[in-house]
Amino acid sequence: MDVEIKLHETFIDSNRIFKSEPYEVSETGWGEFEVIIKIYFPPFSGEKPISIYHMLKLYPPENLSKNWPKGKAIQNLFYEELIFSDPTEEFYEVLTNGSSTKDVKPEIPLKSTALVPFSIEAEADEAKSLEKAIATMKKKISEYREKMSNVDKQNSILKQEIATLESNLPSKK
Amino acid sequence: MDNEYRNAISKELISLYQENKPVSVPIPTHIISKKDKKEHTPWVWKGFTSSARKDDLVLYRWTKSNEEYKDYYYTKYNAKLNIDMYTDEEYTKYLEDPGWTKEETDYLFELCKKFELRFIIIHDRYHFSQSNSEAKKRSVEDLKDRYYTVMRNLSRSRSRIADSESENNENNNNETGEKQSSQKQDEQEKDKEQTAQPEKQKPSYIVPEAYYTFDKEKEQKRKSLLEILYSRTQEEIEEEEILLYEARNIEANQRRFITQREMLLRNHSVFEETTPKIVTVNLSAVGAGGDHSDAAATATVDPKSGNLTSGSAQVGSGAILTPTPATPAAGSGSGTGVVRAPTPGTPGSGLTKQKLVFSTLEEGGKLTFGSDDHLIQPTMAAIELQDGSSVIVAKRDVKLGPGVFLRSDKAMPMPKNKLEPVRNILDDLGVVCSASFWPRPAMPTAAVCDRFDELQQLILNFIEIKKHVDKTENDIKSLQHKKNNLISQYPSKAKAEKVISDANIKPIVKDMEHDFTFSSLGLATPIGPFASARNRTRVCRVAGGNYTTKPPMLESSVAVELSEEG
Repeated sequence: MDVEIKLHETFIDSNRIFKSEPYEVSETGWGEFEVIIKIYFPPFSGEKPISIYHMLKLYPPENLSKNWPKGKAIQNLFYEELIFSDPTEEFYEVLTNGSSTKDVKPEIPLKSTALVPFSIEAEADEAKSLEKAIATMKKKISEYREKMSNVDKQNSILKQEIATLESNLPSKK
Repeated sequence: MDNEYRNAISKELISLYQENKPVSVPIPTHIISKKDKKEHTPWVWKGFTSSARKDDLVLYRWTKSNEEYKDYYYTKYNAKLNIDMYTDEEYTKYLEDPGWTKEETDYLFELCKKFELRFIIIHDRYHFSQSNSEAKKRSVEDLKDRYYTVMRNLSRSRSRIADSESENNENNNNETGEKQSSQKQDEQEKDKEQTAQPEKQKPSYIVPEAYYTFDKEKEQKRKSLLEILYSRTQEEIEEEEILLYEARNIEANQRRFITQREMLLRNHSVFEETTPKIVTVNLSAVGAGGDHSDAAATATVDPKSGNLTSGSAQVGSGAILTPTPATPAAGSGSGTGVVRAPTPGTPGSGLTKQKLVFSTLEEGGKLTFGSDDHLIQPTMAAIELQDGSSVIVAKRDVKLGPGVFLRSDKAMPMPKNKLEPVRNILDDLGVVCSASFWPRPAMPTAAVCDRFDELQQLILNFIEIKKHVDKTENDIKSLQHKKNNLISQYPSKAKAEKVISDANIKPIVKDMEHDFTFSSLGLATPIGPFASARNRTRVCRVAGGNYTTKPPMLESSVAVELSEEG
């Protein structure tokens, strides 16, 4: 598997291509720029390469920048899943049983660590908080639906009242 | 070793042999040398007088010793206005006005000089009274008008005289030069006495008449209009606002009608195109579902509806690998970039015919938490293979075509104009999103994405409802106003109320649900135009299996509900 990492063009050799692990770039820079990570799959897989765009920010997040401890590393981690829909048999085997060179199956850790915050636990937490938000939203919607029906009722009453008032207007003489 | 070597030589040198790039070397912009040194001029505390003052007061300030000022520098800003005066002769000849006596005109000009044409002050200080008659009330416009009329007439007559004089001068120059000049001198002397500014007299001829234009009526009208504007009552202001709101509504309605008509026309054509939507897919024997190119999936696909069917056909033709934590206890999840779980039941080789069976694993398709905290699941769909085994995948992945996808790319699309409000609501709910352009969950697994999509859909619906409520509330305000207006046209309030109570009004409430599902879901979900058709079901045959799509209701999850055909 080849991985191409495209840095900002002001870097020397801004396109780094890696044939094997570790897919790592160490550079000195500043500011922020978009890193394009292009993954090329082995030819037998028949898959097209896929690009992942990552905004690299080399400064602490704004809300924390004030009391950021000096020398503390800044992490920009993100989680992504690749879905292989309808792979070749051979590729399927590699994906499910590990490649011939390595016998390690990738997996999500059960618990989060400082280094890798993404875990089955984190997933559950996020899903939980999302479900909470969904419940809040549902409540809010039902509130507003009630409000809507009230308002609509009022609106229609007013409209009819105006119509009757208009039709029964005392004629001016 | 390498590092040490690098540190030993300068950065500039390294970049020189690494690549042909210019090196930025800071050049000192200012180098002090002895040559540059000059004699300093000392500052001195010096007194000065200003010609703008009449009292010869001497003030002091710091000045450079080599500089000399004749007059105080800022004297030139103390500009005085010179106002031309008329002569008695000119007054009787050109400036008579029935409304004004000469004395009063003189008084006005005196004030004009004194206050340098600041008419508001002039008007304030204006107290002209004569012993024999009562003082007239003069408005600012009256004063202005008098002044400008006098100046206009004056400049007109003077320029006429000047013209004729210059002609005379040319004609009589040789003959009676002396006489002329003496005469002229006389004239000038006379002017001198009366105008007290002989040296300025020549230029005053040049001041064009247009310089003194003043339209009294226009000015009065302008002021009265302003007065009306300022003295509006609160009710009048409110009424105006309501009128403006209604006017804007009318305009907006017009625009909406146009867009709605266009939408209708467009939708109409879409429906025509998509109606014959039954598709049959025959999958003839495929050797171990491998190569796409010779996957002998002979699909009879309606070309117009290619998207849905071709995607599903491909799903059937091979192994489907998607993150399905169907057996998460086995710990076969995945980190970034790889497949998550082996699907139970490997794809059978030699699939002749397949049947897609979609069903949600949990009751009613509701996404609920299992008893085990580690067990969260996306909505699942099982695909039954011909040999009896089945493949369970996340329902959201069923429609994917072949190839590799990023999970976060496949989240629900959202109209761009809704992006900002949705993001705001997400913030309010305390949902942590990754900082990408589109709101995305932090850990976009299939299960999380399911929930995130549902949340976004709810938010979109909420925005629609809120918009409607807000608009109706505004409408009610303006209707209330209209009603009050109508009531005031009745002889008495009681009478109007009787008319209303006689009419026995009951609210007629339209069912708004239809509108919402149409406007929000129609745009936001891949279900497209179907969402508009309420209670309409549509049968699609995909890969040998039939499923029906129901238009999603507000309460239910957005995902298409799929059911097996008998």
